[in-house]
Amino acid sequence: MKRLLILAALLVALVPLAFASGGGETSATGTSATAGDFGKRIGGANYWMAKFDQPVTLHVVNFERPQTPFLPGDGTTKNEWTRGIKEFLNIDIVTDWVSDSAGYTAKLNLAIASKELPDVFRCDPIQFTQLVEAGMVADLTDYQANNLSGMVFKIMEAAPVVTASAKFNGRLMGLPTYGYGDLWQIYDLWIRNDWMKQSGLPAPKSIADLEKIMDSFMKANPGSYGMGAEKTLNEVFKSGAAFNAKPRIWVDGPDGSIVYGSVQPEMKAAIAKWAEWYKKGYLRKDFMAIDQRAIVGDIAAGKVGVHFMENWAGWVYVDAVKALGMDAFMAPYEIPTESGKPGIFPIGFDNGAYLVVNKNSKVIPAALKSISFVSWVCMEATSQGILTDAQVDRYLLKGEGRHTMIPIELNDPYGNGPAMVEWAHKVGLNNYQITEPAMTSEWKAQYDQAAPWWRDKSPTGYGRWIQQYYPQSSGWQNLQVIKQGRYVATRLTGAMPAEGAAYGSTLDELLVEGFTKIIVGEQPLSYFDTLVAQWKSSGGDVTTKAVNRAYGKKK
Amino acid sequence: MPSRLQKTLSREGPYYALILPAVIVVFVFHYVPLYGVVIAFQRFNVARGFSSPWVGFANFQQIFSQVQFLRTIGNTVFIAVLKIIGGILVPVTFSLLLNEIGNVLVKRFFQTLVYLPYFLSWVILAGVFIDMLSLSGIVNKAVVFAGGKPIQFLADPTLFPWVMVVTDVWKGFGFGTVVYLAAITSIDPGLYEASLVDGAGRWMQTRRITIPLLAPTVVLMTVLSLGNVLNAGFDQIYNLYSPIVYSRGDIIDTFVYRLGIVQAQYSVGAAVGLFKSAVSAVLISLSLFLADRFAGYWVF
Repeated sequence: MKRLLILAALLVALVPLAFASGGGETSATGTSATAGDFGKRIGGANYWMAKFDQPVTLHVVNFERPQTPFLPGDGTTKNEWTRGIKEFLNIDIVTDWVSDSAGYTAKLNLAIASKELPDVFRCDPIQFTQLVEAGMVADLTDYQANNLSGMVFKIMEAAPVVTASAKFNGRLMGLPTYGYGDLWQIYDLWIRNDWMKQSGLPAPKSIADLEKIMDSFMKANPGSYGMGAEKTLNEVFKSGAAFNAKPRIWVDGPDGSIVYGSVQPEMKAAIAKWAEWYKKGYLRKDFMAIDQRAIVGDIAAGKVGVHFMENWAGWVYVDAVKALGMDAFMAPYEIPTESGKPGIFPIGFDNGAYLVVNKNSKVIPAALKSISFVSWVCMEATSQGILTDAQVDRYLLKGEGRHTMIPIELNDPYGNGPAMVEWAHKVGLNNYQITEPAMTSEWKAQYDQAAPWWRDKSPTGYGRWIQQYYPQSSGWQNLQVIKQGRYVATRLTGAMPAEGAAYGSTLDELLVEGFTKIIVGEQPLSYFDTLVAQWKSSGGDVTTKAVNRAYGKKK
Repeated sequence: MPSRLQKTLSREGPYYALILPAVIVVFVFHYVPLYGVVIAFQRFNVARGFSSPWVGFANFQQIFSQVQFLRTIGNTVFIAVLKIIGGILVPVTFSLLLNEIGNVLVKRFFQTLVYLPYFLSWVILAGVFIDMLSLSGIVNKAVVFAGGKPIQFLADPTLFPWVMVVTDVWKGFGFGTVVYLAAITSIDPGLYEASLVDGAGRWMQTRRITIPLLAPTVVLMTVLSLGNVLNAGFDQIYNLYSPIVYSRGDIIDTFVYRLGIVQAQYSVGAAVGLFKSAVSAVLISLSLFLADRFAGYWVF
């Protein structure tokens, strides 16, 4: 009896072990050495790169990118970046935790809720707004001048609308991670090159031209169908410019208030045309049950040769080239319109995340200097002669390594903008000889990515080549649209307000479901109006009002 | 003279002590977090945590105003009830049939064979079924061969719930078969021998001995699955559905996923979760009452 009691007592004592599993991760807010040189400047272009006298510890959090070809022995927490930042700035990067890419937001939410945040981290727009309102992020305005490089300022100036979204009452509360620039937001129409040549038809200027092309393809290749489409209806939304529609962005409505593009009358015309295409057999009969992988597979199998996609679609279509031959690549074209006149393209908000510094951090200058360092390596280190191409490649790792230091990485609308496209275009026209020096190391790294196409006739270079070096590359065509001002930018220049975010993606999904029914013929075109009314009553009105309150002209 | 309490403690004390760690763990991980239910009545903001602004029933009002949510309730109950019925009828029938097989090796072989799909995840099976049920898949090839037109199994809202039920029952009936087969083999063989003397045939034996004695197990399995009537199988539906079948195939969990999890809208997710729990509590109580009433089966 006594023995049993002792046994039971031991078991109770073991209970804490149940709680110990799964934990064990310590995370500290900004700590350790003070930044001894706050205020100290060194001269020249790299004024911000003042090395700390004492080592400074910078806590970050990150997520895995399994496709990164790390150097042997390196990983997300220890790599060329952490070594470089130590060498040049005397900052020790300590990674508190690393999650998988899908679970990062949830894990960060947990960290925010338990108030265990690192010094600097990346968050999404909704978290950013919440953190600012709760007073948990540092005001960076006064730290900019000494710690952000001239190149970072150039990036900030290259996308002023995006930069403004990080300012609250004129104070800079974080750095947007930026996108690659507006020109990369324009969708293209991708058409199979060898089939185009065979048909002898010119580049499509109107929808009628496009239909002729699809007819010709289907006739020449029995068993194929005309146009790729899948269950998310993404292709329908990407084709918006063909119908003067502005799907998925918020635009100025006829009465001056902001309205959602997907429920405007122009969208009705788009759906009508796609319904016609389904009836005529241009689309797969079962498109509403398949996903994009199936379409890409169909392209590689020679079952379809026309598809609306992003500028970077080449990276996705590379299997087609591998399977069907170098001439069977998918080539980008500007999206044709119903009238035949040049189209107007909708452009979304070119930013998806923010880098923020913990309010309690004692090493704010170190955080900003680290951010500047990443941009410096990518864009200035070689032109300044401080690092060689080979050394920079150990950081960039053929382009993938650049994204290792996510908590301190800014994308680059400045370096990836018109200047790069013009440079690459010239190279392409000059038999791929580099005519002028590359402005940044990234241009050179991307040139190396594309080179296998023309040098070795290898498909691995296709994705980059078709994006920038092909004479009619997607980048080049998109640049013309931007130069001619044929675009409309969304009025939602920041995070969706909380009242709208509460509906998640269900409002868009309601439209996808209804549009699909119209396209396959289950509902007549007049159902569009019923659908819009349903959208409004299921949260669309609430969301529209919230967007107008936050981004309307009254400000 | 030790009191009754002391006697009880000395006899049963050690057993309570053995359960105590488990009770503490359940209490800490399942009861204490119940406080988190308050999220359903707030506009939850991770930065503010539990001090987020209170909004009363606004979250519930929001979801009940969404036409998509209301129909998910009907879809969920429809699919779940069919799955429960199928999940009983098929394993019971199959175990009765399996019981008739004399050769033990053959019996074991089939038992293992039908049990295997239970262990496969829906992510894998979804890929298999999407291929099999596509317009050019093996099932439609058979349909065309028999003279029919290809059927869009996964893109037809009327067919979709039935496809979900059939594939799910196929995947899971091996598990039920094992349970029922065990219950059948535990029936006293003396009963069968006695019935033989009375001139009972095989079918009579099944009807009058096997099925009635199997009933408590069936009732228990049903009761256990009734708590699931609002869980129509997120894994399976999520991997197989598409917008065209939302009208009959969208269930509460997939809707909440799109509403709350994708954009970390914890408040509305918690509101729906609370709603589901409340309904499930009522249904479980009802099923326990029914089990007691009609099968004399009292769980406690």
